[in-house]
Amino acid sequence: MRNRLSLRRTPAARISGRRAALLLRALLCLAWVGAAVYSGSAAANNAPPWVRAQVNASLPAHDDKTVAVVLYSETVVTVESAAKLRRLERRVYRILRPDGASRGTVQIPLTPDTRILSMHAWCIPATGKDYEVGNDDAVEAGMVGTEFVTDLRVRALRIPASVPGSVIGYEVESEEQPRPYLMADAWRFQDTVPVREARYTLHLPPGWQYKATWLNHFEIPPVSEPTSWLWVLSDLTAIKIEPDMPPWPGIAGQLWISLVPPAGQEAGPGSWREVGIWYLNLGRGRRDATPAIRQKVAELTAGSTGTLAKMRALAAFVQSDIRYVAVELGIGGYQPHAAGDVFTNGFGDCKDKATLLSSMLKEIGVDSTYVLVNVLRGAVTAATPANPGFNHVILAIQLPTGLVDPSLLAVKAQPQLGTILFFDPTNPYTPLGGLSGGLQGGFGLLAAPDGGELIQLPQLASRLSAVQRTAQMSLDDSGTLRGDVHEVLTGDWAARERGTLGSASRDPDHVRSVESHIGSAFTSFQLLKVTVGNLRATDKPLEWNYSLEAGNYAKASGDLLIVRPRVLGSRSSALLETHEARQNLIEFRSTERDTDVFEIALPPGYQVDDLPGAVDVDGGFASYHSKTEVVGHRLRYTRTFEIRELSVPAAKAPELRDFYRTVWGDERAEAVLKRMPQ
Amino acid sequence: MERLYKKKGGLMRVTLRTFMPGMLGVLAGLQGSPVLAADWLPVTADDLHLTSVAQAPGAAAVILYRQVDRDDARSFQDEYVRVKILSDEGRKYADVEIPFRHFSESVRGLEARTIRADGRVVPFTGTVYEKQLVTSRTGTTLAKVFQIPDVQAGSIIEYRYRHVYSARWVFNSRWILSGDLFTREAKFSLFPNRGLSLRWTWPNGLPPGTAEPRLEKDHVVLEEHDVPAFVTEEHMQPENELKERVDFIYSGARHFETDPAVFWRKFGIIAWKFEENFVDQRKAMQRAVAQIVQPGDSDEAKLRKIYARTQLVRNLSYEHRKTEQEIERQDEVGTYSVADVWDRGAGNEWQINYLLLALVRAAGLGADPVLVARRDQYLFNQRHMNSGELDATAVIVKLDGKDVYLDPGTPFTPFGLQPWNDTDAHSLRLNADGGAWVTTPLPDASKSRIERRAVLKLSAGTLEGKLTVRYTGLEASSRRLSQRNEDDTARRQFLEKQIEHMVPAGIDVKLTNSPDWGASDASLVTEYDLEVPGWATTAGRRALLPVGLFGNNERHTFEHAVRVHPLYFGYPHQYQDDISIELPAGWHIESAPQVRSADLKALQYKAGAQSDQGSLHLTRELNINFYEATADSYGAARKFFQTVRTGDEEQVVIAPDASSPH
Repeated sequence: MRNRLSLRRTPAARISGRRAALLLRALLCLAWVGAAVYSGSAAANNAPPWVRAQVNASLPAHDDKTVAVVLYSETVVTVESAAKLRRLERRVYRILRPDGASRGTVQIPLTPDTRILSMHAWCIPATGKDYEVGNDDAVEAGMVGTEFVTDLRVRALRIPASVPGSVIGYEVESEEQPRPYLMADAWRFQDTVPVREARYTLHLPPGWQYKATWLNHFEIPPVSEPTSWLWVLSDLTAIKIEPDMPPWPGIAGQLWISLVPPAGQEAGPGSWREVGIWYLNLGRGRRDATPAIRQKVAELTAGSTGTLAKMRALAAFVQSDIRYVAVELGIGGYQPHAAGDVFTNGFGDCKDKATLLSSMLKEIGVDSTYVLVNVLRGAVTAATPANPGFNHVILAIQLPTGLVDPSLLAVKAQPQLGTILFFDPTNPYTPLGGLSGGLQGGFGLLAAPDGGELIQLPQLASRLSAVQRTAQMSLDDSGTLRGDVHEVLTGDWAARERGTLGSASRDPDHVRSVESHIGSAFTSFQLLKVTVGNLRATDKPLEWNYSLEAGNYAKASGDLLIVRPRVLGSRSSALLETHEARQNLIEFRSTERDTDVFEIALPPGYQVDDLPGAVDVDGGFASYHSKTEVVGHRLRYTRTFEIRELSVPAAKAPELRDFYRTVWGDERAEAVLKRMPQ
Repeated sequence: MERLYKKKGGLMRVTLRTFMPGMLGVLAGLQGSPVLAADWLPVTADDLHLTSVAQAPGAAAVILYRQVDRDDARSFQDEYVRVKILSDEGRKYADVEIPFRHFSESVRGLEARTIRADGRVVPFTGTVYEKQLVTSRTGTTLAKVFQIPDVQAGSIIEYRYRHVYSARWVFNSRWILSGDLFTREAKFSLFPNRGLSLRWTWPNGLPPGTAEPRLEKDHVVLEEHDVPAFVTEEHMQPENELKERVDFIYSGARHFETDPAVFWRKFGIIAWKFEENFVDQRKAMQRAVAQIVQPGDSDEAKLRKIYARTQLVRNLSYEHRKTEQEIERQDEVGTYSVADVWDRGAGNEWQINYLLLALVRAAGLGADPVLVARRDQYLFNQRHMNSGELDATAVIVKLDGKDVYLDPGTPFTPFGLQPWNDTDAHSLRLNADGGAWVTTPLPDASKSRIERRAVLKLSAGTLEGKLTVRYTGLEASSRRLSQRNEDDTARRQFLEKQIEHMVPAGIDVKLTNSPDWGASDASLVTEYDLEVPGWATTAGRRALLPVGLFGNNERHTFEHAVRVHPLYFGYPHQYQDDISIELPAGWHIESAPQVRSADLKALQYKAGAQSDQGSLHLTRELNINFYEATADSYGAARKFFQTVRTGDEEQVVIAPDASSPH
């Protein structure tokens, strides 16, 4: 399966939206229309022996929520030559619960290099005759990701009677043309349901060799024959899908097989160094500037003094003026378009934008190179064997000697290249110097001239992704709160907000955005004024200014008036409010820090009778400090919420849950005002 | 509203596509290379310098001009679109995708260009890609995709193309009059196929200020100006039914009816005959009914027994989604009458309803079939003359002089009720004369309730105890219906999730009983162990308890100030809460909020807190007594829900006793 370099390709996003609806509709159409025209077999007991053999198989250990189990999984890979690889995939499931019916829809991803030779599936129902479906029943659709045009497709087949009690199985035979840059195969044997038996067989022509790398699973020796190897695993536990968990490749067991042809034949990259060289060669000549690019560089940098100002001007141009449009056909999934074409068209995908910016930077004397990354932090780790399985490209910009600036945050020292600045020209909201939280701390392949190197991207300090809220409010004796709020957002906070506002197509949508944002803080409110500052100036903090009036904010109770000092903003979470133990790491989007200062002028005639206590919690990975005090005739609430680490181990989930409970308690805590006797 | 274009000799039967072999030779000769109707239109200086549109403040882009010219005689449609890009976000409209069916359709003559803000024209010379959307045995859907280059804020982009259809078919079509972008001007025309009759309707009305489609010579034409972008809102009617459009429907019928009364009478007679043919199994039904009722049963007892018995018939319409082979096996033996349904013990939705009809008649009661327009899909209008919108059935039984509407074909529907989307619905009560229009009953809110009763203890800020939730009427049947094919584990998760959504806090909730999922008339009673950590908040020595424990569903209702569409709630329903909270030893209630209420008749709310010897008794009622209202009502409804939220956030103040060591 090809893994291309385009933004945000995830398995879940592969078939989605309108295409998914079309695919589903086509499958449904086949169900209904096909009833009239179908003349295929519904023969008795025609499931093959390897499916039938599983009918009485014992089930692997599972709980009552398990929707299905994999009884048998078999992958046979036969390398016939450097130009041809055959693959046989077989699966047998027992459906245990109605939700397991989804296992009855087989989806096989296709690339232009893949040809499906046959696709068959069977169902052995609890009662009645077997069902069989085949090639003619399949539906094919283009894949949907962020690409505008792609030649990736998916073929799907629905297995009849995929209901509890049924045993279903399928077999897909395909032929692939191994790509010289990816002479490898990955056996992903774990599933979201338990697996009873999983087998992987490798057949190699004489003289070929392989190298095996295990990820997230201990090593198992194969049963060897002269030209074939068999690995067998049994009773594999299910991986539980949880919110905010690491990406699948980062936690699921897998065996990587790197293929090594006999000497003299072209081999795939065997090391990260070679992958880096391969990618640089793929982009060779593509970063050459055209006269039009040179003219544009001159035009963009004419008013700038200093290298950094020029870099900023060029980065901003590629970020905002070159639209993200991915056209990925054939090798175009990996190979960038020429900088000149990208500039002329005014659009391109991530690698195209990186290519154009690299070309432009070179014109001002700044060198840069590609960094291949995965937008899902944790999908590639230090243990991942060399392969081009990334899904995004950013740039490593070599900072000229002596260029130091506090705005250049995402920097790292590299022995060959000196100080490099990581920059993502595809992200229109993170300015030069910053790096989005999703990329921070992840591993990327630096395509350095001397060869590739797997490096860890920097993790920025929490203070660089922050929200600072201040509010000057006044409360009257009817409980109405009035005043002005000022919010300053930086880093990922600002980028996310700009992204939300960028997708809003009308000004009223900005007001609706604030209404939704503060709706949970007030039972009734009216926005009197809303302005957003620096919306397009991504190198400056985004600023919200709004005035509001919230009736019934304070609640009267006899001669008491109850008022919540935390006016706005919630950082509590019910993520871990579940009675099931957490299985996976908890991943945060980024490190960040919120600080709030809210002042409420108290109504005449009232004085504070009770105040919430201060809160000070520090769990290492995060901290929370809040304080409510009386300053003059004002209530003053200050707090700081900080996430310091990008992830929290599952073992610390109870600690994190208690942390969130503490935050929630503080956010709801009230001050009690008492009316003074006249 | 509807209009008719009728041509002499238009006799062919048309559904969506009509095969017209007699016209093949003529039309094939007319399909030459595409010739677009208009050249690029001139660009004004005002449009070049346009930076905003007053009627669409802050819009990322607007449609300056759009033209759709359809010719059903020569089987093509020309489209012309001119868009002004007003901000960077609007550049996405330069990515164009034109879907079409492979083999039977094609897209030709595609041209596009960018007009920069300085007036320079950049023609599109790039690649037009053909993208596969989906392929199956029934055909392939492709799309022409391209990106218009050099697009910046301030640019005007425009493109045009011809959509060519197979000359062997005539397609019904529609003009969509409101879309994602504000439209300054649009022109539409349609040249009808002369061999067929054509009717056109605008079921959802026309944009304000737009004149009705008119016939000019042989063309139907319409112009529109300043049409706002369509917006999506919470609690709105079906989106497709709110977007303004003009539907064109061809007919090959010998007499294309223009009079809705005649149309529906003819349709009603056909439907009646079909129904009578299906249910006319008197002897078989008499034998069947003898197994169900006793001679001494009252009419109501008979009816209830028959209703309950028909609900036991295996309902094929509500089983898991089947593949073609499963359907083939299921239909190996055809179902041609109610006797077949009875003998087989299985039938689909309408077959089960007609079985009830036959059995009831066999028991000596008067009953009529009804065709119902479900209102979750359509906003039915007789004048549209679209019989496909009568997409459900029911049976009206005369009992003690009153009409009782029954629908055993929808599983778990209580006796005397219908599924919510069949209530207050336009319906055709069939008879030999073609039938009569009726409106199905709308049960009042008290028939569909969610009652939540909790007995809880407060300890260290956490509420803990037992919760019982009773769903009645449509609240019960809709849940049973949605979970009909699930197992106990999924149902437990479903119910627990429902409670989690009710409480505005993270909670731990566990279902402790086995609810009756198979019943129809009985309430769905569910019991839980409930824990709400940190529900009481601190205020120094005091603690505070919000009274709206189950108010989460209303926390964000109608929080936006502006409303465009009418309000739509599905069906009237009620919530009733009764919560007892035992306070920790040594604590007392210092103050409790006054009863808070709001009464708009259509919407009613009342919440209160009473102290009761060391415990707290909270009550809350919320009645939604209507299901639809005009957008003018939004202000009042919004204020009502603000009152609800305010009431739910009222606090009970508790404090340690003076003698307490706390």
